[in-house]
Amino acid sequence: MKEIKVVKINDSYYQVDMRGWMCPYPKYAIEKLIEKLPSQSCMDLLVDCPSATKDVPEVVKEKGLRVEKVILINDGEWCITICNY
Amino acid sequence: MGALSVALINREFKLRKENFLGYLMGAIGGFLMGLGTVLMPPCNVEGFWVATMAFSLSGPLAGIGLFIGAYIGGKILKIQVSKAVENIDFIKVQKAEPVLSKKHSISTFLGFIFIISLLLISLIYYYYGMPIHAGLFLFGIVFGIIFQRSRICFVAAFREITISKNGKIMKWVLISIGISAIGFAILKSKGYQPYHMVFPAGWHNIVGGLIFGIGMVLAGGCGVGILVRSGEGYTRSWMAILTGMLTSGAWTGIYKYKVEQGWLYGSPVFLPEKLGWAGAFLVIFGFLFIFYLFITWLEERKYEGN
Repeated sequence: MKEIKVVKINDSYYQVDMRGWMCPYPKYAIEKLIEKLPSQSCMDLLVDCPSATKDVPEVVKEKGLRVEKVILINDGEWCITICNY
Repeated sequence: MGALSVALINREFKLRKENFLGYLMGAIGGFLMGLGTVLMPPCNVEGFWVATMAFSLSGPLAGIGLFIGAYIGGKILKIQVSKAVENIDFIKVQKAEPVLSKKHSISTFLGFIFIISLLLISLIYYYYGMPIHAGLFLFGIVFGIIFQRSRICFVAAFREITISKNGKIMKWVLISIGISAIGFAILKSKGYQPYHMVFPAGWHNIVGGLIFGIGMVLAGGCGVGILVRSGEGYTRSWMAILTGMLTSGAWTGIYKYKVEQGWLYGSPVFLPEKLGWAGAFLVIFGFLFIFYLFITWLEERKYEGN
């Protein structure tokens, strides 16, 4: 199976790269991802399917977390910033 | 093509490559969709959506199959991604350069050039005495644009009911069937093309729907959906289109009769003919109502679970 690449930007900021995972994979992954995210942290979720920019924030808000921003970073690629504080 | 041009304009186009497993999934999905299409028949949009509003018994039967199929397909996708997430450990990850955004893009510019050339092609058709081809070509482009922008997704409609316990899209699909059924009833009761969109009914609707349902979730789109996604640059959809066409093409070679004929397919059942209009209304709207209640029940269970 494909891997999900994660890098650390600083002690409380991570970047999770799910580009290449078509929808609805990111939507199904996000629930477990926010459970795993250390407390008082943020993560950038990189996706390349348009529907995820709507689906993922919906799930995140349902879980009571905060979506900082959703931005287009490249052609067909978006960055969704999620914080758990 | 229409989908490709608007995807470019909105900077949503990207050539999305897959690994071997991704292509394999696309191929299997396409194969199942091809098989499901000839069994059901036809695809999920007509087989379920249009057939139900046209009072064909095959519609609700195909719906049941699609519902179960989408559930199985969705579970497969969820298991795959869960495994990948399991392997992540935020504590252990290394510090590295994050991916940053790029500001410059010629995508929008390309998209406009593309759509202008598409319009030119249809003009060429027109001038060379093929106005019907020009019209169909234009219709295809507009259809592609609408589908790409609106993100109508029958796959998500079926899949999300059970996997995310979110039936919002499906409820709207059901309501649209109900509204359109009234229109069909008016036309058909006046004797206008009563057998239009009435398909053979039988166990093959459920089986075909089930196979198609699994296939569409693995391939990442229904019949039209994978066409739109192919325009957005999903290579998995390209694979699914290829195997899907090959499968349904090969079917006519293997199966001795034409599709919708022979021992496999039941006879078309036009409900008002069998049950009268009152009975037909009862069956179709009863089906829609029960399906609606079932979705609501599933949605409520989601909050109890938390």
